[in-house]
Amino acid sequence: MLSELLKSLDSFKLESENAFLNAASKEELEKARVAYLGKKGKISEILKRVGTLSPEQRPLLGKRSNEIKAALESTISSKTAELLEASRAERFRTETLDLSLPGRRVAIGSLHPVTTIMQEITAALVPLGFVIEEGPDIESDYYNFEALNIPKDHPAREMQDTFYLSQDLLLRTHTSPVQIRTMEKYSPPMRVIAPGTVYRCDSDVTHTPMFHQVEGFVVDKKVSFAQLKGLLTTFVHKIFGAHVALRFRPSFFPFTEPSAEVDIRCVICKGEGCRVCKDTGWLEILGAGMIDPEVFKSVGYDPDKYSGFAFGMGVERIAMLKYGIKDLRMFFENDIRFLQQF
Amino acid sequence: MNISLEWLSEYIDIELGLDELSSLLTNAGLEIEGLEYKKPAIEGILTARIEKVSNHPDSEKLKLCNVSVGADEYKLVCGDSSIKVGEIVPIALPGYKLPDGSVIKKTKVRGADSEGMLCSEKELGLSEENAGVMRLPEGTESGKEIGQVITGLSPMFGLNASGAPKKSVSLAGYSDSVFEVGLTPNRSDCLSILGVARELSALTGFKVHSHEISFDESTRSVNEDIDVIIEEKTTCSRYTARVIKRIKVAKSPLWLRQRLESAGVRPINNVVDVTNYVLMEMGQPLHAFDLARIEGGKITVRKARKKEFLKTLDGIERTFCGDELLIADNKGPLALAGIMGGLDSSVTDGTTDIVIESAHFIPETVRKTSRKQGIHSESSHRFERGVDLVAVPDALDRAAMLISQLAGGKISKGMIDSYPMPYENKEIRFRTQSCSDVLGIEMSADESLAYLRKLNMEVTLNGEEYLVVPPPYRVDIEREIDLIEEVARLKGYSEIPVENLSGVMPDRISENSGSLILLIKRFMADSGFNELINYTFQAPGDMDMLGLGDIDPLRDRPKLINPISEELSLMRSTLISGMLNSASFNLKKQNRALNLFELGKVFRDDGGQITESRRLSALITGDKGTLLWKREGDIYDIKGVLENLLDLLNIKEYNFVNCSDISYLHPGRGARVFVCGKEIALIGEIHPSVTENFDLRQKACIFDLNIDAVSLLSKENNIKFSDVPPFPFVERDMALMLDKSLPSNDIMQLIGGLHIDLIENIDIFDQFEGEGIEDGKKSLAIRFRYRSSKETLTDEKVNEVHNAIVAHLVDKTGAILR
Repeated sequence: MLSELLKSLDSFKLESENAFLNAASKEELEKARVAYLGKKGKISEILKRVGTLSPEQRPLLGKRSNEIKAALESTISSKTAELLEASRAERFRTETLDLSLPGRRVAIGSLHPVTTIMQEITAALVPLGFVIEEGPDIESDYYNFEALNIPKDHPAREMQDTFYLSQDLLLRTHTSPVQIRTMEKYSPPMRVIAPGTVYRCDSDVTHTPMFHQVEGFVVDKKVSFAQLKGLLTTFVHKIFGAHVALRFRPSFFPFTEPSAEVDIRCVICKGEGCRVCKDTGWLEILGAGMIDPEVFKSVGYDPDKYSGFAFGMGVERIAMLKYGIKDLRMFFENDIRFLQQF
Repeated sequence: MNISLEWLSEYIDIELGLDELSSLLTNAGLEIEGLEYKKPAIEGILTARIEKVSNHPDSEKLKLCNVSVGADEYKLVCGDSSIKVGEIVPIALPGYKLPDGSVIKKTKVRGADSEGMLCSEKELGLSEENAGVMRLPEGTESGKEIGQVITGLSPMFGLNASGAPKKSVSLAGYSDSVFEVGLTPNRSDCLSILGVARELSALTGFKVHSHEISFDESTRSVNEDIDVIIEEKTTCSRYTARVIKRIKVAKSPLWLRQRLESAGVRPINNVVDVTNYVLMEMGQPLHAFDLARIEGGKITVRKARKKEFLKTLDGIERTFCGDELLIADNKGPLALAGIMGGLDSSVTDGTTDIVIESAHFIPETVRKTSRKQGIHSESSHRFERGVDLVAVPDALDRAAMLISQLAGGKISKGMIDSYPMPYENKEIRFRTQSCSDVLGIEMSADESLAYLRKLNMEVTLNGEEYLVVPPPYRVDIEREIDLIEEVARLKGYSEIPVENLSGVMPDRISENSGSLILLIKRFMADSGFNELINYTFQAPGDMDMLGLGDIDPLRDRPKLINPISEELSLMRSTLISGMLNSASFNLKKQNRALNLFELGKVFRDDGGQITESRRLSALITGDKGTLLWKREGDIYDIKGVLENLLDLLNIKEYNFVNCSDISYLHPGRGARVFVCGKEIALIGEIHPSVTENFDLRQKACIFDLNIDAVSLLSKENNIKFSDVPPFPFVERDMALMLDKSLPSNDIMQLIGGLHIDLIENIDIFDQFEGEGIEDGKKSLAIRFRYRSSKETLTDEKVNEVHNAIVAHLVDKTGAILR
């Protein structure tokens, strides 16, 4: 009887093992487990017949069935792992993504080159104690001209073609009125930088009626031309690189005396001579000078007590040199194929 | 001003290379802006004698000529029908290569043999004269190299003014270099060859040569023919005049024309050319009148009378308003003083007797008139900047001498010199210490005074200071600082050391919004927008294109008196039209997806009160994202950007309120944005008709933010940490059926009004209308997140609160809970 039961246990093992190993999915495997090892499964039916055995024989059957159960559990768990592996592999096969496809990007914007250059200029000077000041675009004749030692009918007015709104109101032709406005408002010492929009009644390939300037000035006791040279040398090296050569040469502005034009070694040809520098090897980038005593008088400063210097530059010009832009008009066409390059 | 080196070398020996000379002048403030090298093509050109002239059988204009070149004879066809037997002309023979590269060959011109070409001055590169074949003086031998022959015609060809051969110029290799000098308005003293020579002399130490002026005068006194009366003694400082009789007006000789052309002046006749020549040479404007045209023999310097008129040399009839300074005779105006002569009294071919004027007018007067009349002449250019008052008669004599040499005639005895404002020497104090202080370099008295003396200034010691008298031609030097500049200039700016700023760093903080502006611009760029800068000018029609009403305040734009064009004649009152124009421009360039912004000033003219304010305008149009992931951008995209920006600026309490009254916005898709009751922005989809007006062809959405208002509202972000909540949240959703017109914001405000602390967050997660929803209604789904900082919330507690909210909303809005 015992041997018969043991024999059926053995064939049960074979049969159920086959069923487990042949299961094609987790679900089939579970179904087979219930069918063979469940409470109502085939093994229970065999074990029900334990009553037919003698008390001595019973443990032998129990031992054998436990061994078989353990072996089958182990088969199931390895089969489970195998099935999981297989189903993952299948999932991975179908879930593949092409990561060479473009990502979901937010458009990248840009700052106008004028903004960027203005920012670079102010960033170079603010650490030296310069404070940013501004003034109106629509200026009075007084601030734009008279107070800057450019009286009515002075030929220097011809250097700047002016847009007028009335006898007295005009579009500022330079950022220099900010000098007057600031000196009227505060007392020395001062270090000021004034970026802004300026206007001249001129429109051709190399002139736009509106453009941008940055003005800087320093007022204190004992400010000298040598210090002007020092500051502008530092400044130019920050903007154009530490090894750029500078040249100061005499010029004329009604509101500075002595006045200077500042050239840098041509950044295009390095001084060899090219179209951009008109074969001179030099590029004019700054106008500067010692603040004229007449300007101090118009704001009520004592020219014997205070001295100062001022300098100004065209933002578009610097942008053109730094970025290699050839046509000034592109700055205001607002073609995004231009704008997106900055 | 153009300076011919050949001409200049008559005044000063220049033993410098072109580069050295150029940098010497540039470093002294006379910027060399260009250099033109002139070299005539005369090598191999021979002289020919016209032996026979006959008509071309097939042409009325062409002549057949037989010419002899030394012993050789040639036949050729000539286009100059005035050619005569016996004349000596330049000839280019077969094999000669013209400057344009073409080679002279034996050829046939309309069937007639032609074995060479007779040349004009222009063809030889000698002058601009191209009217006919160049004629050489009678008695010139034929068969000579022209280079040898014309040497005697022009000091440019190897002779200096006194007739002695110049050093470095070879006869056949004649050339000239013309410098373009960019002069600043203060340096009127250098608006002449003489002036540049003086400047070079100060820089190099070489002496300036002066011309010897000498001529014979006739026995007839100048006063017998002319009388000068200066009525305006405060504006006409000096008036000198001479009379020359029985002159012969003709074409000027080659050398004179060449020099005038080098200075950019068109030759006219020998009298006018001499006046222009002396102007260019000495910087003194001159004018020659036809004596026969001066009514009553009397010249008056007076103010114009109203409605008086004069046809000036440029052929324009000018009517005066009454304060122009005139040169007049008994009949009426002869010339605009210091600016331009009249046509009727000008020197013409028939003129025999002339009056030469050399005068001085004060800059302000000349400038005012030249501006008013819109004339800018070589003469007015100099008077406006200042002319040497002392040298007025010298220029007159130089001109009289040259005219009598070139045009013959008798110079009447004496000169008229009416001089109501005699020149007074300027005495300027000079302290070497101030000079050292301003320049930042210790300057000795010896050194700085030496520079001033080189500039022909007289220096005398006066106690501890010096008194400096500048020469009369330096009208720009009036103050000590002007002298300091001269010292710096002559020392050389490059010799001044480079020093650091001294003194304390000012500690004032900037009060303007520059850093905020940059923050906003960077935010916009980081949000994907490209920054534009448009002209701040606007076209008159822009307001109509935006559909604005007749009295809309945006129409109150400041107007320019002298705009570049009508399209740029007003100052913009809004950034939107520029934004739409830029969008349209880019769409036409096939860029269909745009995110643009501009931050800039707008202007308003409120009955003469002009104000400026700053605005930020942004626009989106087209799809968002790359083609693969794209979706159409809409108003909520740009609204999100605006909300983020306001958050960045710590402006939290904003309300978007729909409005349908903004002409350029879609009436159902526009809103005003309020903060504390103040309108700070507009947002919306562009009205379809405005889209059409700007030729946009696709939907666009914008916002327009008042930056000045925002910069006042923006606060420092005072961060205060609060504890991280330890208890879990509970969420409840609510779907309400509402009137379509009820803004979601009203619901939010109603909920807010309940002040329920347990609400941590409210999110609208769906809004739906259309199918299944009654017309005029919408469904709004809201998710509430409840959390307590003290305990874990129970369902009962949450339900109680949530139901109370539902009841409140239903009660206040008539909503139906779905």
